[in-house]
Amino acid sequence: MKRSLLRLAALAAVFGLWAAGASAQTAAPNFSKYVALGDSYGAGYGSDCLVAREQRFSYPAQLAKSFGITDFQQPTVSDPGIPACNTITGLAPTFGRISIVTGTPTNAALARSYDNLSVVGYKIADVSDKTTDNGGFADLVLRGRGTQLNQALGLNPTFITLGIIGNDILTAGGAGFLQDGVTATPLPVFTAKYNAVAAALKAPGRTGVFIGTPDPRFIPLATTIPYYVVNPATRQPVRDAAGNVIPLYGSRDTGDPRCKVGPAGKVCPLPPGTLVTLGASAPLAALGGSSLLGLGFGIPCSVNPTLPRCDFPLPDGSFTPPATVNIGVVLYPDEVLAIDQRVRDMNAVIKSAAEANGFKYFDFYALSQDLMTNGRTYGGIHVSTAFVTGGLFGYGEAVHMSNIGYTILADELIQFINASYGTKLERPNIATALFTPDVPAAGSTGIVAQAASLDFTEEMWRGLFRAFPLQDETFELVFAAEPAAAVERAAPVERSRVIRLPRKRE
Amino acid sequence: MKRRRFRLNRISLPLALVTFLAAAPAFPAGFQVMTQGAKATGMGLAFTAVADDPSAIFYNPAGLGWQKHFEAQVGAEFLSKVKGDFEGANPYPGNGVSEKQHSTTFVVPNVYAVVPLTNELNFGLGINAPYGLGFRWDRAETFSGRFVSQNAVVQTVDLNPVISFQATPTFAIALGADYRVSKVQLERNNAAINPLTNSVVDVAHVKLNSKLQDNHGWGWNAGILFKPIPQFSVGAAYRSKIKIDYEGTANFEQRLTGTPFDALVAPQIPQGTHPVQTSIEFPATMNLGTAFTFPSDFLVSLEADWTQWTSFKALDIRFPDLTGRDLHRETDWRNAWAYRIGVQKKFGAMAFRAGYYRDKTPQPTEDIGPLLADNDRDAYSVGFGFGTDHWGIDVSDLYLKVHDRSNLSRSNDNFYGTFKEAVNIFAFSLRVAF
Repeated sequence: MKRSLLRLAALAAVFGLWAAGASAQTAAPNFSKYVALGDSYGAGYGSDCLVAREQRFSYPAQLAKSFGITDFQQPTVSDPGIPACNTITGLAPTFGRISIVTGTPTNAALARSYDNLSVVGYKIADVSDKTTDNGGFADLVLRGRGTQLNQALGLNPTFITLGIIGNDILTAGGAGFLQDGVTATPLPVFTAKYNAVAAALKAPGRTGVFIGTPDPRFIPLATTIPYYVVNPATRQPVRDAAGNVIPLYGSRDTGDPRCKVGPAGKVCPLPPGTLVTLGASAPLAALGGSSLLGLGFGIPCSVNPTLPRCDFPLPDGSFTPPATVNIGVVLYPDEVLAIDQRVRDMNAVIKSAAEANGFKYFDFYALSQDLMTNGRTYGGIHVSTAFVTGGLFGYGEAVHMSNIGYTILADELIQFINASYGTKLERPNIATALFTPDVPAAGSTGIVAQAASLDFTEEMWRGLFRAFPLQDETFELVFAAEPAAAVERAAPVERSRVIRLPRKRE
Repeated sequence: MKRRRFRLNRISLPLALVTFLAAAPAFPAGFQVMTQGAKATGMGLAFTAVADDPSAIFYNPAGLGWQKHFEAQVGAEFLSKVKGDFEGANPYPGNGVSEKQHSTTFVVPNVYAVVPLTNELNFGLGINAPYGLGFRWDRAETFSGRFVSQNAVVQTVDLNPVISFQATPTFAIALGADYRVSKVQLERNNAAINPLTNSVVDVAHVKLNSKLQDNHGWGWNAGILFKPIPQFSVGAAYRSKIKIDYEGTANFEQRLTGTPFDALVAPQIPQGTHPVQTSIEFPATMNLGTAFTFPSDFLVSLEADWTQWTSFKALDIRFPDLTGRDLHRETDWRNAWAYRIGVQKKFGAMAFRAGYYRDKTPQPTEDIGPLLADNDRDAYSVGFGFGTDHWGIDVSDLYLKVHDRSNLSRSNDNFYGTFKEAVNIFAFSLRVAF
């Protein structure tokens, strides 16, 4: 009897272990119906526009192809895109829109929701809450059929991706300061919203991937201009007599002994690790077509005394209540770390939400760091995160990836899915992205070159806040503000002003 | 007359080397070429314990101990690539991409001479090309792997003097020096992202070439052969590694796109000729064999060959006068074994031979790519010999099927697909003895 009981107990234990093992195993994914929820990265937004020739490289489109789905529907747009795509017009480099007119939606008559529901500019709250944006990107995708989340659920997907990868925080990088409720979604709000969306997506038999947020230093917007003075002709650092680089000036008192009082007040050298955004080199209409750096902002007069704004600080971002956002171009190391920490915190939320609801978490943060460090090499072709020459980023606001970049992201996602679920999905064809010129289709109207710029244009800078909206879209954006009081002291220079640019609505 | 002979000697050695070099590119086992005699080739290269013709200088020089006459042997192998295909896969170069290697028949000659010094001592001299590589792709300017390699050639010629000593009627040993000259040629294009289209364009062609006279190395070889009874033998041969430091030139030539991008690229390309350096450590080898002669002159030979390919850990190319251009490629090859069996049946002056071997590749999957794609291979051979004590002729044919090899899971070059290769080797040898 005792032996029988032991046998029974052993059998039960074995069965229990087997059952536990079975429940711990990852469910085999069913890719028959795939729906993508997300933002501009999911939309395939590259050259500050939606256009079919770039949308076909969106990671959802490429995932669908690997899944074997032939009827994956996207809100495609004809050339020259909506808005008209940005392009490089010269190798200085200079940029401009490819057309004075925009493209048109080519799939608007689809009688059901799109499979790629990604909307440019979407934050996590928009996924569950937004139904319209008065003729903007949301309306282009949603078409009055309800929120992104509801439309996704209505398609009854068997596999989903949720790729809200940056609009809740990366706007802080573009604006030059981190402030909850202004340039970032407060973490508790983000957490609650993300968890709610994740829970809503949970369903028996449904699997998918939640995509994290990349390292904020991943984007060329923040990494192309160094914190020190560069000779625009040679692109080499200007050095002092001792061979050291000469830091640009900012307005924050860092306690550096090289701080001095300039025409606009105290200026201090930017410490190493400071990021200067490409906005510093964007020619602005309000500055007579010159850029901040072109006028000398941030540049010590000891380097070039002929610049009208030498010894002026590069503007730091700030918020002036009740509704004025002063866009800065400087992110001090502590601000970079704060944004980075927020990104890490958000990724922890995304990972937790994924795991709690039966989805997988894709670590875009780690991928972005790998791409920053190593780039990728395919058959001897090296691509990197370098703006313009690296290939990974498009010619938009130096934030969004190119066809090449999105294909690499899709490839990484497919490898991740294969590793996570034990599938053998085919990887995308990166050669197609590498060798296909990303140029307008034949017959597109002529390029309208904008003001020449070494790196950036005002339009590209503005485009950043179209793709990465502020927390409140009624906020007024003020680009490149010169402190009025300081300007009063800048006698040799023409009367300057605070430049207020009402936010464009597309 | 004396002066005339001197001039002939001065000319003849370089001429002979050039002849060998012109013919050396071959098909790799790694990039080792073991087909150095028609008789051995007919027996699937299972020849270490047989070693009964002058090609023993290569296979096992102790075999010279039983060769009591002055003998000379000349021969050649005709190596033809039956198949050299590549089928691409995603992510790069992509499904549907199909490429072919350049199809050429290479001729690899060999010369051996055996000079008895005493009853026990023999001197031998061999000239052959035991290593070679010819991996050249068709349509080089559009080949999808052109940014890794369009053409890779390694050529070697060995001068191998040996002394054998037959210590007893059943046992002989041998020791030799191995002087190797070599040259390397590598070609590829360079790619860049054209900012005007955000897509890839060819911006330069780079050709590396080394000179024969600047690149040489020394090694040694040894062998033992034990024949306790006439029907049984066991032998071993060893050949040391040889490191060659190459010095040559690198020629950079800009490829024009016809766009303003060319002007931006031009300063980045060190156009013209620059010095270049690299090194290759050719591996040590150990061959172990045994042979049985059954009644009716039926010979069976078995062999296991070990090659120390771990010596080929990396390929480093240095440009002494250029900054930031040095190349480092991890190869991480493994030691490899080959297992061979050969048979011979004699009918009077005629001999019929056959052989088989399985050669394990030293190259890890990660390393295969446009520069070199090796794999395990099966080889099947047949041969025929006819001769007397004073002369002989041997012919053989060896079909070498390299197993198809895919690198769909991992590739250092991120160049994915399936490589397919097969080679046919026809060999002949003429032997005279006095």
